[in-house]
This record gives sequence, structure tokens and C-alpha cells, in this order.
Amino acid sequence: MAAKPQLGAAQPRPSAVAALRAGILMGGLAAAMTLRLASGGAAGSTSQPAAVLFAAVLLALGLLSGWRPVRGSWPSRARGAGMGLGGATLLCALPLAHRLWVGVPAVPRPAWGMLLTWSLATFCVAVAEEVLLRGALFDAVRRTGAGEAAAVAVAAVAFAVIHVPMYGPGALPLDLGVGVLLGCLRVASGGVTAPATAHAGADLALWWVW
Amino acid sequence: MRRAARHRRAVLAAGAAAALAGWLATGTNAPPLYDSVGVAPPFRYVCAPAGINLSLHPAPNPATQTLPVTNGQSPGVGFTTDEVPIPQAQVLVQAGELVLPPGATAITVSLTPVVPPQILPSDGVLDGNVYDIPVTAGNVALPLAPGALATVVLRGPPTGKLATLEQFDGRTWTPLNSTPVGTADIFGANVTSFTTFALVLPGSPQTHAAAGCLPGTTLVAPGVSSSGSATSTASAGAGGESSNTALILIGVAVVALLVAGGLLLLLRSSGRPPPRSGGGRGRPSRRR
Repeated sequence: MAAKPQLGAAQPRPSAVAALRAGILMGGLAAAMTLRLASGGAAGSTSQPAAVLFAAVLLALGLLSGWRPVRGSWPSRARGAGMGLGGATLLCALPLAHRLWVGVPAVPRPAWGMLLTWSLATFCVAVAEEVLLRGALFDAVRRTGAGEAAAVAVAAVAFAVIHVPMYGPGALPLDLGVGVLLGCLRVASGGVTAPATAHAGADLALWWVW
Repeated sequence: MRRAARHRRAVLAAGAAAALAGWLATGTNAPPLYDSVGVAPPFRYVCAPAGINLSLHPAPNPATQTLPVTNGQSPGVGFTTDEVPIPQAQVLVQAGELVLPPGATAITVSLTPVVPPQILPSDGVLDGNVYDIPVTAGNVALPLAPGALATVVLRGPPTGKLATLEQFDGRTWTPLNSTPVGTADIFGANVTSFTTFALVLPGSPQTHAAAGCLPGTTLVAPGVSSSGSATSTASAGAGGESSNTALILIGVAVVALLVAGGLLLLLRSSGRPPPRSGGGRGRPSRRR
């Protein structure tokens, strides 16, 4: 049965509210990125305190926008985590194979004594980015009526663009492609667990396989 | 059910294809994902040490900047090479601290990675590239004003060891009082003149520079670009402008985030259905 329209004060159209929410989230994302880079000082993107601050801001924005994790059953969460692990494996497999066959330049990695703090900071940033991009922003774009494909695209573009100041335009194609994969994991699993697992897994693997 | 599973598989396959395309487009030397705390690009060498394949490393970027002179004073310089996210060389000079020749309207600062000179440091081995850093007005090398300091910052390869910034005046290498800057393998020092600089790791002196150098790299025996001796000092250097900019950016970002947070809260409250009479939650109120 269709709900009757409510009388009283005029309510904004849900799609307009969702579009506004998506715009605010993207603006907040840009501000959070600026805060991370400016507060990182000379360390820039390698600053762990700035990274943790960035993660906290993203989580706050996601929660303020009304995003909450889907209350799924344990089997569905396990399935999401499994999909995410598959995604992380895929992301690592090709570079690893290339490294084994061809060799790669030496990439600086943090000192071993920083493994624990580096892992925590990396995990927090990955999960927070997924909460905001594939959680809050994805939901907001989808609620505009644009559909899931548009939500995947917008989140992927935002994901790629926010990393340009840190890794340069050369990283844009990779982050765009990976952003689409993470969005597809969100669509296929129905929640953020899968993209967050894939994202954190690929980031953490950097220490071991790169 | 089966249709949903098929749709899920198709979505995942599309995502995998996008990731593969992105990896191929970026270049197969890319990490799994350019998104991790501490991801830094490979060091860019002019001359490869043993075990480093130059063909796998992009070339380092030289950089030149021309800045206008205002009110007869030299401008502040905060200039880096354009490697992202970690520039390999940087020079900082505060405004008014360069001695300008009469009639100067602009100054030019260059950061040029060069092939090491014939004379190598006697107290260790070169760590990364040698940079020629001239500061000129026209073709005249500019000295720093008496008592003034500039700061040079260089990034080295990922060794994890403490390197020393050394200055070459065309005859000898002089170690400077160097400090790590921000993160591993980046070191800075205050300088009183602009010549040629490199990081040096302690160890047995090199007898010759690395054999394999990038083709087309400027082959120079770096000379003195301006007068003055290379003495080191531990006092604070330039860079006040960049820290001010960072503070301004932080302030703007915080304000923007507060506004965004407030708007998101407003939207949440405006998106809620109006309260029902009786304050019941989850149960529709009866009309009276």
C-alpha cells in the first residue's frame, strides 16, 4: 500500500537531500585531505599521526551523515570478508608476480620497529576511507536515484582524486581502477566489510610483498 | 537466486577488470595500491650504485624557479624538485637574505641533479644524487647576506642510515651539521652559500663515482656558484613561510570540516519524519 503524503511543512525531496549530502561529504573529504597533508609537515603522506587524524575525521564525517554498518548475519559478514580477501589477493597477485619475474625498484618502507604502529595507522586509514567512500558517499549517491553504477563511479573518482596530491597524477589510473573494484565489492557484498577488507589487506601487504 | 549470483559474479569480474586496467595503465612497477601510510616512490638516481637497475627507475627531475624582486628585496624561496610525494631536493631562503646586484628584478633558483665530480668525499660514500644549487640574478651568483642562512634538504635512497649533508666548493667536500627532516632518508642542513651538495654515508671513501649514469645527464664538475665558505651551523633555518601556509591550511580545513559536520547534522534532522503525537516510537499513533 502506498504511503499517503504527509501534510504540514514542505519536506525537501529525498533525492535533493541525498545529492546535497554527497556534495558535503566530498567537500569534507577534500578538507580532511588538506588537513592530513598540512599537518603531516615534512613527512607529508608518511606521517602516521596525520594519517590517524585523517582516519578519525573521515569516520566522524561518515557517522555524522547518518551512515551505520549494515546489521548482517555472521555468515553474510564472513562472506563479505571472504570477498574482500579475494580482492586483496587479486590486488597483490599481479604486482607480486611482476616483481618475481622482472624485479622492481627498491621502495622505501618504514623501519621494522614501526611495524605495529604503521599497521594500525594503515588499517585505520583504509577502513575509514571505506566507511566514507563506499559507505556514506556510496549510499548518498545511490539515494539520489542515480543508481549503483553511478555510486561506484563517484566513489572511485573521489578515491583516486584524493590520492593525487600524495602520490602524483601517475597514481591516478591505478587508484581509479582499484576504486572501481572496491565499489564492485560493495555492490556484490551489500556492505562495507568486503571493500574494507580488500583495501586494508592490499595496503598492509605492501610491507611484506613490496 | 541464481540470477543474483550471476549478477554478483559479473559485478566482481567488472571490478577485477577495472583494477587490472588501472595497474597496466599506471605501469607494471606500481605497488598493489597507491594508498598506504608510508608509500614512497622509488629513489631516482643519476648514477646507479651496484645492484640498482637504472631502467627500472625514473630519472630525477631538475627544477628551476624565477621569482620577482619586490621593493628591492630578495623574495623568500621555498622551492623543491617536483617528485611526488617526496621531493628529492629542496632549498629554503628567507625574504631579504640574499645580496642583490643593483637593478636586479628577479632571482633564479635551480636544483639540478648532476653526475658526481672527479673529487669525491674523503670521509664516506655518496648517498644518492649530487645536486648543483645555484641562486642567481641574471648571470650573477647571489651570496647570502652576512649572518644569513639558507637551508638545503636532500632525500637519499632508502638505507635507513644516518647520512650527512656535505657541500662541495669545487675543491673539497665539507660536512655540514645535518639533521633528519621529517622522515627517514631525508636530511637537511643550514648553509651560508650555494654550491653543490650531496648526502654522504660514513664509510670507506669512494675511489671513483658509479659507472652507470643516466644518458644525457649534464656532465659537470660542479663549481662554486657563489662566494663564501661552507660552514655549518645548528641554528634554525628558513621555512617560516611554509609553516605559516601549513597553519593557514589547517585552519581552513578545520573550519570547512566543522561546517560540513554541522550541515550533515542539519540534513539528518531535516530528513527525519516529523514527530508523531504521543511520542510513540515505531508504532503509529491512532487518530482521535
